[in-house]
Amino acid sequence: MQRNNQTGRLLFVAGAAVLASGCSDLLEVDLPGVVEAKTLDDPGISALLVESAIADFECAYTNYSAGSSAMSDEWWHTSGGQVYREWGGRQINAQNDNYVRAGCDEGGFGQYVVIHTARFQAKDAFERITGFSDADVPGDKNDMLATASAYEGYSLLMLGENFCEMALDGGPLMQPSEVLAVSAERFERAITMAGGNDDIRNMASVGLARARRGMGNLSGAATAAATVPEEFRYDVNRDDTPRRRWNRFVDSNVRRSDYTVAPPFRGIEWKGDPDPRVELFYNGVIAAYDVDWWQTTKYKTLSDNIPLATWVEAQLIMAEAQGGEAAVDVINKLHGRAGLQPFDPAADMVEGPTGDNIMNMVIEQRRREFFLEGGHRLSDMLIYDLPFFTGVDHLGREYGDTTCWPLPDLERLGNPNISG
Amino acid sequence: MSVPRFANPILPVPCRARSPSRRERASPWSAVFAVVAGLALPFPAAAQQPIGGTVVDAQTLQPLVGAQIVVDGTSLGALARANGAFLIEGVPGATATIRVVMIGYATWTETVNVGDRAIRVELRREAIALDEIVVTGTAGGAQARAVGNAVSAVSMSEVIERRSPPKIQSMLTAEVPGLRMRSVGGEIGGGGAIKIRGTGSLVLSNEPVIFVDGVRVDNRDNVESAAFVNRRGGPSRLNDLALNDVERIEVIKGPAAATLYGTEASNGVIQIFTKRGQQGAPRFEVALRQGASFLYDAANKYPVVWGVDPESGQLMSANLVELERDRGTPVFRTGLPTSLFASVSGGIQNLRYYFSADALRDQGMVDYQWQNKLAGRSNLSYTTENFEVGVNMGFIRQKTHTSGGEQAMTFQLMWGSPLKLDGPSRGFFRNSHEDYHQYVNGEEEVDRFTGGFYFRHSPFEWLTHRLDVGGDFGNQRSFSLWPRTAQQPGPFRRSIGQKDVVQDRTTLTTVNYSATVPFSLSDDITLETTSGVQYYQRKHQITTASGVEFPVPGVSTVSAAAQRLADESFIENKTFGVFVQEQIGWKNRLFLTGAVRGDDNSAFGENFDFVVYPKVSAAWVTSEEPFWSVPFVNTLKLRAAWGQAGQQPDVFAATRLYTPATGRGGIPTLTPSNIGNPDLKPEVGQELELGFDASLFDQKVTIDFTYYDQTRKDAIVPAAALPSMGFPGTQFVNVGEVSNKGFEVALGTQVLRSEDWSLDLGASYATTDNKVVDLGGITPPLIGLPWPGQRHVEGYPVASMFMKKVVSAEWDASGDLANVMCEGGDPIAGGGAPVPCAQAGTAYWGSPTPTWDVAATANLRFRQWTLSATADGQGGYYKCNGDIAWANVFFRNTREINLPPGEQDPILAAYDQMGFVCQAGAVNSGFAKLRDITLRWDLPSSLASFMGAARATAQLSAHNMFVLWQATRELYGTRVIDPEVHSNTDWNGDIGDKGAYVQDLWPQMQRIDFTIRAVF
Repeated sequence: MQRNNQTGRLLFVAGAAVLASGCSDLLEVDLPGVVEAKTLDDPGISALLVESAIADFECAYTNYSAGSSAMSDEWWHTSGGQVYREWGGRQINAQNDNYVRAGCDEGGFGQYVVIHTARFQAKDAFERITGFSDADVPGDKNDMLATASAYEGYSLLMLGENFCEMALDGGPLMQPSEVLAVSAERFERAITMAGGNDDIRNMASVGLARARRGMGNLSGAATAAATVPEEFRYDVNRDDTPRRRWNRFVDSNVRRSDYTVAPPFRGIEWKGDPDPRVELFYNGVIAAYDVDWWQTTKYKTLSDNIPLATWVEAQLIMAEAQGGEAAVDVINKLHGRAGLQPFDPAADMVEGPTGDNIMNMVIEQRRREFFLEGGHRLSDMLIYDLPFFTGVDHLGREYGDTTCWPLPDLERLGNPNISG
Repeated sequence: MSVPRFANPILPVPCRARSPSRRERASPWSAVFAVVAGLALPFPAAAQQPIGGTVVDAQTLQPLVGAQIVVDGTSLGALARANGAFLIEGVPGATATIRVVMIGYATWTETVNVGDRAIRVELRREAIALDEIVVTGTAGGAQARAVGNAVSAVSMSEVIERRSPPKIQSMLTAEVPGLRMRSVGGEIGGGGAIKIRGTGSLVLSNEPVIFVDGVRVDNRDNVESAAFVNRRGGPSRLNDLALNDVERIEVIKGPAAATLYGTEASNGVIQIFTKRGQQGAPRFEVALRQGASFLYDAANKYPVVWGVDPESGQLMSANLVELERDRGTPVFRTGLPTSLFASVSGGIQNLRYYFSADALRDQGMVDYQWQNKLAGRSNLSYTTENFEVGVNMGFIRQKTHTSGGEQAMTFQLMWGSPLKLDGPSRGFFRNSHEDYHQYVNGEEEVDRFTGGFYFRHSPFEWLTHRLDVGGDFGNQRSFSLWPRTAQQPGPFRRSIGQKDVVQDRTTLTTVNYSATVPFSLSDDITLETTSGVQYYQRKHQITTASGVEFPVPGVSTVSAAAQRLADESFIENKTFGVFVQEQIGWKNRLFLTGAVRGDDNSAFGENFDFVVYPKVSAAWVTSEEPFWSVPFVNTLKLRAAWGQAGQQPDVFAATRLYTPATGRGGIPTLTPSNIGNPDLKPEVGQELELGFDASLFDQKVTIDFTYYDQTRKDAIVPAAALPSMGFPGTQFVNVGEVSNKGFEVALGTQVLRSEDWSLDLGASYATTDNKVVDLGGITPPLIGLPWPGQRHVEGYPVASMFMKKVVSAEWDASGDLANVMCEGGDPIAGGGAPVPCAQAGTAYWGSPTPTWDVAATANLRFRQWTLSATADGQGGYYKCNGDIAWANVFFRNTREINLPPGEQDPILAAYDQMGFVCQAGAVNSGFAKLRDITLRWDLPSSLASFMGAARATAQLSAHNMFVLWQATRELYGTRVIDPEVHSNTDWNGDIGDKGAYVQDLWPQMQRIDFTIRAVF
């Protein structure tokens, strides 16, 4: 009897051990909905890596553009949603989770993570493809590298333009001009590698001009801008599905009434004619808080593309760099393009055609041309110290004091190269 | 309430001498065949004689229906029928030893003459049944006396007679101290999150594991369904189960008891056992229920809405519920839920069977909320002396109708305005209740099969082993439809036409094998070794599709919409575990148990292979010791247990992942989604449990007391990935520690017991002190919606609310706010002297999870009439009532916010001015409700016979009739409609069951049921 017991125990233990040793296969699971990082080591998907970087950039740039508009004088917030009110009320601070971590398919306008994701993706694609042998990469490897480099440049441009401070890859604290300098390097590399890809070269040239302008290097900016051919336009593509590919201007101002176009942009005219560059729609509909709902007509659907790099921008950068007659010529080229009457500095400027006044006119042209476009307005307000909305807002609440976007506490405290 | 006291008919029974009977030596395959062939299989007639008699309560002499009679040494047995009568055919030999067991009574054992049909069994009530078998938390089942941890056992037939509960979830709360459900309110089909002994995990689910007849089943208490808004009030799969099929439920509450369930069990285990047949003639049971559900005094429940007329400047108000009622278009109606249940059970020779069918129609307090359910069950078993084989199958088909994904009608009432009375919405915020009936439609259909096969075999006297194989297969289809209206714009924003569809397919597979070897070292010392292996597999496949903007009215498929979205997710998780348990018994009074379980799980990181969970426990029936001489203490069992159990990480948390995304032109791309952590391992729950079970004063008083000290080690902390590295989201790291401490006490008293009268009272109270002990130096980000400011902070309960808190403010002479001061101190937790609000950080408001629960029961019987009442409550927590918060600071339709400056509450005015939301709706929460009150009449035999029944009862029950106590009745003058309701999660869904934000939920409705139950 006792022997039987012992035998039994041994059998159980042995059985359990056998089963346990064979359990590794039992635990294999399918992950059909996700991709493990090691999958990206395949040279055969080089083109996919670049397209992935572009897709993440387009997501980030759309958030960047709409978030900038919300904080600039282009929009008034009219939403019950707190995140939209925080953006419109300039209450974005270093702890604001929406600003730091929200994705493109969430409410509000997440910036910090999505832009870094775009930057990382472009950089990672560039580095991975560089590491693949030419023979293993299907397609034009150089073209892919140029594209990845250009998009990394634009991601860095966003990080250097409207943010107060920055860090890259867990590195030390950087000032905007330092980030823009890295951005300019990426654009220069893209231009060098672009070969016969004119679109990428021109897009990178506009980016380079924009980065140099941000660094205060206006002559260098003009040099880069001068290479951009007439009527060039390179877009951030938008689609009506899925949500991360929506045009956020339409989503926030047309599809929903989270924002209304602010009074400074209503009824803009030139010599009595409405300026088609800031065309709005208002039919008496009231948004929340009993605020009139002024909608943009610049974009009509969720799938309307957003300009990224244009000849117009290159021209205005040149005008800004050169001033004087050259600037007036640019303004008149743009007026003619918009069907507006010409600008005559002597007649149209009460205080006379001084350099400053002409420069103000250039800034005004930028305001109109870049209405709800690419974060330009907020950037101009920061560069030229233009006034933000202050005091009590249209809802009876105090505006915050955010201008440039702060380095998130998450980065400041979590980054050992900053927190020490 | 928590006394382990049930004999388990499906348990491995102690080894017995082998019988020479030819049939009993039949191979297992013949048994399988017999089961498959079912009742059609002919069995030879028995040559032996019967045994029969009556079972009654020794004190009241009332018949004990359902008492279990077993002939020792055979597989024969029966249940006492109406009048307590029983008859067992075919008993071999001249004499036989019969055992009679019933919950709450001492086991009766006697040797009787075979052929005697007039045996009278008088069972003596036993407050603590030490010899009954409990299954949960042990390997293969054990006598209650040997179990070192608390097991709460709920007899469903007793609960049905006492409470007639509509749902399993709501029933459990008052029956199991320490088990707390957050009811999502009165929407038909809505569920609620269940937690046992508080919140253990910062990021993982806190849902307990659920088994039905030994098979793991879907335990999600917040299922994604298109028919419910944002999962805030979504269904719980636990409520799918047909109540009438449940025999009993056992609950173990923490790692000390859950070790043998391994990974996933650290939140506790709920074991549900369904009914089974007993030998004898077919026993038919029929129950017919007709009810009425309604919202009592709705006009006074919902707050009056206010506004200032912009022209006259006058303060206006409207009671929308009252106005609608007066104009003949009442918002609420009386629903008429009804159900019909029928079952047949019995046994023919070695075959036992139980078949049932349950049809239910539930109706809510608004006409578009209803549910139809059809449930069926078939439990078959074939038993011989040394083996038992069985098949249990349950099927449920259920259809629930709702107002779909549209924000619930309740917010139209909360945020309405007297200024809109003459508009199309008639004062409602935007839509009238007719719009919900006509212009939106939500449906959820569930087909679910839960089934299992088990085989128990005792090939030798020294060996019993058992195999369970089974699965839970669920298929849920739900949709939300806003038809396109002919007139545009339509009543709802989505009335351009929208359809959202969710299909959820869930499969859980269980394979469980265990073997037990008993051994007697001497007359006093017994050993029992149990070992086993378990394998669980869980798959969830969720497919969603959404179409927006139909071209014309009348089309309603996703593919007919102009914009279409689709999504599919697939999650698979597997666990393999091995365990060994050794139990040492001394003189059947002292028991020591040690066990070890090892698990591997597919979600563990690649650098982590295997986890081991140990357990030790001791139980000592002190009152049976010779030295025991405390006269008024009849039974005392001391128990102590220490053990560990785990909780595996989310399925993909360990792996660095990219997610497919759409690129330009619709091409596929990849985007970083999860930074991963190859070292990720399970959270390990560790618990010390000390307690005792005692009966006093001639067993008239029972006390169960348990103290627990639970620590979740290696708790996963969501460390935000360093954003400049480019990966979004959080990285899960095992650096945290969470503690839950508290006690549970349950008291029962038998105040009066005689043939005519009896009065039993019971009460329970449980506490939980939940605290984040360590976050490993990480400051996790805010979780969930931003308004309640929920975050994990060391020294405070999990996911507590931290928001700026105004401590003083006043109006100056010119009607402006002055001296607005906020709580200063720690930048997150506050606690310091007041400072100007601009300089203040946040302050601690409270835990989102109840810190205590209480329940009380009373049963008064006079002859055939029994009046029962059950009350329960929870408290000690905070929530952000979004209905009130937004009414104050955004929709501005409360009276207080519309008072002129100088008259308003200055604190509220300060919050309003600073644009703070949840501070204007932060509610100190707690409630006690009279949950059920039931009057039961056991029809006299003559009347039952007139109906053709052996026994019949009529029962009138009322549910949720009164709020006995509520911590906060009004906030800034606005009523808190139902203090109990709480969202399953918030809109984002990523806060799981820890959310503090509540909005748009229906209050619980009142319900009256009349039930007739008869046994034939």
